[in-house]
Amino acid sequence: MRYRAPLLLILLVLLPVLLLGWLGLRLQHNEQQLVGLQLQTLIEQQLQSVDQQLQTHFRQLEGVLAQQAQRLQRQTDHDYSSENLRAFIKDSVYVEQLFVLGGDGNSERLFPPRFAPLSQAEQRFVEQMQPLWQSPDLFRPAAADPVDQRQQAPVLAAGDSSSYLASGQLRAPSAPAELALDLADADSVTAKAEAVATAPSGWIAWHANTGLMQVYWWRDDQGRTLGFVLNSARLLSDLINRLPEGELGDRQLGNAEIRLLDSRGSTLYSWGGYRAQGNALRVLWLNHPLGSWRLEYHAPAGTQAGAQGAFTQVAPLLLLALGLGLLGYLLYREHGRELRLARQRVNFVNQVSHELKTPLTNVRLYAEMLQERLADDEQDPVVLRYLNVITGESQRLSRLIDNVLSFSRLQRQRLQLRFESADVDEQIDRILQTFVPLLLQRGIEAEFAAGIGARLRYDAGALEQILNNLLSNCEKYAPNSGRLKLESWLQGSSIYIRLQDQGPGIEPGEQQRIFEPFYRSSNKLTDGVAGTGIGLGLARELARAHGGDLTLEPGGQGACFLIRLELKP
Amino acid sequence: MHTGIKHHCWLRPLLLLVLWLPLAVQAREVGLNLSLATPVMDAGSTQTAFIKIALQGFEQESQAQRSPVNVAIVLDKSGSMSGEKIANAREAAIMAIASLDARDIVSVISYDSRVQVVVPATRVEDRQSIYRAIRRLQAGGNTALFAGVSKGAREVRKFLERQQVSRVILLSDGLANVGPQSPHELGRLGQSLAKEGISVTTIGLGLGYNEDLMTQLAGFSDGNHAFVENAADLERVFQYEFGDVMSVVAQDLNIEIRCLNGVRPLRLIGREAEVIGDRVRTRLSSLYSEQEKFVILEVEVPAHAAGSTLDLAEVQLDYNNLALREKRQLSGLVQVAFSASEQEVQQAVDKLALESAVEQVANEYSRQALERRDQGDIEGARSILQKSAKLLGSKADSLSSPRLEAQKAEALKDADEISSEDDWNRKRKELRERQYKRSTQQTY
Repeated sequence: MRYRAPLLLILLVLLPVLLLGWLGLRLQHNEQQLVGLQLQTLIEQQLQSVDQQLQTHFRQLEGVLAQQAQRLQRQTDHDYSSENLRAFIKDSVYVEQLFVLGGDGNSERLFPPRFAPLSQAEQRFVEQMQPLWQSPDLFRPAAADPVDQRQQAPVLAAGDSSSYLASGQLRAPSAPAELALDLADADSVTAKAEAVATAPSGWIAWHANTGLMQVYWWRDDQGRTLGFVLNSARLLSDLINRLPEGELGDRQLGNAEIRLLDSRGSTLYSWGGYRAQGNALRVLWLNHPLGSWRLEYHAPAGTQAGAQGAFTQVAPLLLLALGLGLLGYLLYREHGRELRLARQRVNFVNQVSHELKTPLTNVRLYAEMLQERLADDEQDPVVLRYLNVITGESQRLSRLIDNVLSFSRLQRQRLQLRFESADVDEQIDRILQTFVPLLLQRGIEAEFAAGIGARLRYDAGALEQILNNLLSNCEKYAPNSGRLKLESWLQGSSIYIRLQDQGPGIEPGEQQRIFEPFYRSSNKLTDGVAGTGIGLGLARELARAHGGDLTLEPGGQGACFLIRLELKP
Repeated sequence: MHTGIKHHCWLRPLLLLVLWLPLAVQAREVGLNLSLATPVMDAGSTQTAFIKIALQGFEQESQAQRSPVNVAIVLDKSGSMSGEKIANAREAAIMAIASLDARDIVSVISYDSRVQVVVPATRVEDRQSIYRAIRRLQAGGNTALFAGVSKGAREVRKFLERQQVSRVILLSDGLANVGPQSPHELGRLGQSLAKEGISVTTIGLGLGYNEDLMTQLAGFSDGNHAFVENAADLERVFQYEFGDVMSVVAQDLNIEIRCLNGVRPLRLIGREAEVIGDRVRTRLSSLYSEQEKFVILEVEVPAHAAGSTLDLAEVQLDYNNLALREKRQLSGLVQVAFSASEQEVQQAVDKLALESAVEQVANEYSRQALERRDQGDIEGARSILQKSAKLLGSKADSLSSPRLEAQKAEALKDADEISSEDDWNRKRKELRERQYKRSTQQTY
């Protein structure tokens, strides 16, 4: 009860802050998802552009090799003498070995020669490549070659990334170094155009025991197939040379890393500023003929932008909480002051009531003494009547003051019952007798049916106050109503007292509210009647403090109150 | 008369050589010296013979006339290089670059788990900025050796020209652990670079590197190889290396040997060669001023009657003469005579050629011993070395050669030490280095 106000205020502050915080978190979460998605696309594009660079190498190599194949064909006049081919291998930087297939379905090996001595390297080569030569299906023309099918994808990706480049978020990849080849003579340039236009060719990725081998095959106009087996170490070296290094790589990627991994999952090359182990954020498998290789993108899981975002989210929330907290505090202080003022007022009333009580007691005492004295002397009845009025009004005033004091005690939870042994019926009768003159004046005739007839332990003061309030209410609100019936009985360990008048009664809508403090039912009857509005409430609180209750009984004419008081054992 | 004919018989090859001499001594021309360890052979039986094909570099007239060089220095700056090692490497590189001049092109690449082009290929004009860039190198990270060599080769390739000396100098102190790491793969990269005229010199620092990888990479591109245990010696090695690079007089030396008359080539000792039927081809990347490099070919000679002579092989040398700035071709013929007299055969022995042949054969034994040792057969390895020492000993006596004597002592020492586990790592590196230097006639 005491902490209700602060609790309410805290709730008032916390609720909106929590609500806003939750909403903010939701928003941030969504935003992060969006950013993550964008980042994923960005990463994808970066990886695609790397793949594109590697593919460019193969395209260029393809051009060069097709050109060289043409030249070999022309030099040897479709004969492909071993001498020429070996000389070619000896000088070729990219090609490690060469084979020529001819005859039906390209099943006949023309080079390395079948019926002439071979070098050791050639013998090994023949052993390695035998299975490849026995599967002519691999040498399909360009249309059916997977290279060309897949070519579309990188081109598309390049389109995407170039549009992204325009926004300036990603650095353009450095121009790839041209292949170092001395093929500047004019006729080979035209030959290149021919070759690309006409000859079927393609790439084969061949897994031999030494690792992945890349074979470029090219078919001449007589249906013979030339196979260039690349020096894979040199190929990797050239591919690495196309990828960024050092500070350039760091600048391109920032705090991230791209790794090139081979089919066994070991890193071949990596660049970028981020260096830590862990799972890749994204993996891209490379296009043919590097099909079993992949690119991995590594970066710290949570980006710094997220941390900043969290701060910007929390700051307004903190401000809001601070503002609301301040407001709450001010309200609480205001409320406290009000409470203090109210208490001061109650105290004041309390003090005043006490101050009033002493002179009033004297007034009553002397008025009663005077009354007794005058009654003996059989004086003027008018004087007696005046005295009766004085005693009656002073009694009423003292009840009023008692009510005020009890009420304030109740408010401060300082009401204490004093149990003592007394005769209930006698007490009820005595109280009733003090009201009889007043009631008679108001046209009410009281009758009491005593049903207890024993001395019991209870708080006589409390019962007196309850009865006083009920009787004075009856006197106030039910004038000229005829009979007022009181009865008392004992049931179990409780005293029951019922008051039944014949007045106008209480409207059903107000039956609950009449017990609320300071509530005064308002209708024609009560207009013009003075009252504090604490009487009934106080009576009920007293009854309840005594372990019983004060209830309004339904039915019948007029109002019927039932008092129940628990006895002290 | 009888002896006269015989004299005549074994004189013929000599005469032929004498005929070639004028060409050989002609300044600014590589000398092609063909000799047979046994110019006179026992008649009537099939036997083997050693042909020595020696290339003699002519004298470089002056420093001013040397060929421009195009060098990429590839430095390992992995974590293991930290401290003194990287400091020494930096200073060695700077010292070496200091000996170059404005004709030359240099680039510096460093690698750890990343590769960084510290100095892109540039003419040696603004030295200070090159030095500054090198001095900024700090050690840390893994060893992406393959990528380092790749990028080094790319820098060299930017100004690639056949008339200049192109070389990648690789310094590493650790195992390649990013990218390809097998000697085979690195060897094939070396092979490809050699075809472009780029040779790779490998310098292994300390005891942590893979000597097989380093010698293969150097071997396939015919560069130099050195094992530097102490980082303080790096400066000296770099100076030797640059001395070599700046004294190249001939490049791209392609030797083709064609065996005649049923003679069968068995093996070319100590160098990679392609043997197809009766043809043997090999390639040397460079020949230095006044240096002799040679290859030894072992052949099987069919039986012939005493008194007859036989053309054993034709040798053709194509090379790029850097002094004349043109491609040159030389050729020669190796002949043998047959005699029934043991004494005559012994007398005719060409001591220099035989010495070289024995040196290479023993070197080959040493390689075999190393292989055995790698397979865990320490006893086998030792017995091979002891066999080698015996051969060296007997030939040292008969040829009275102090060189073979020294090599014999070496072999015996190796036989002793090959069984020890303690210092095997260092020993193996030393052995590899020695074998490599002997088979390629490295100048330092």
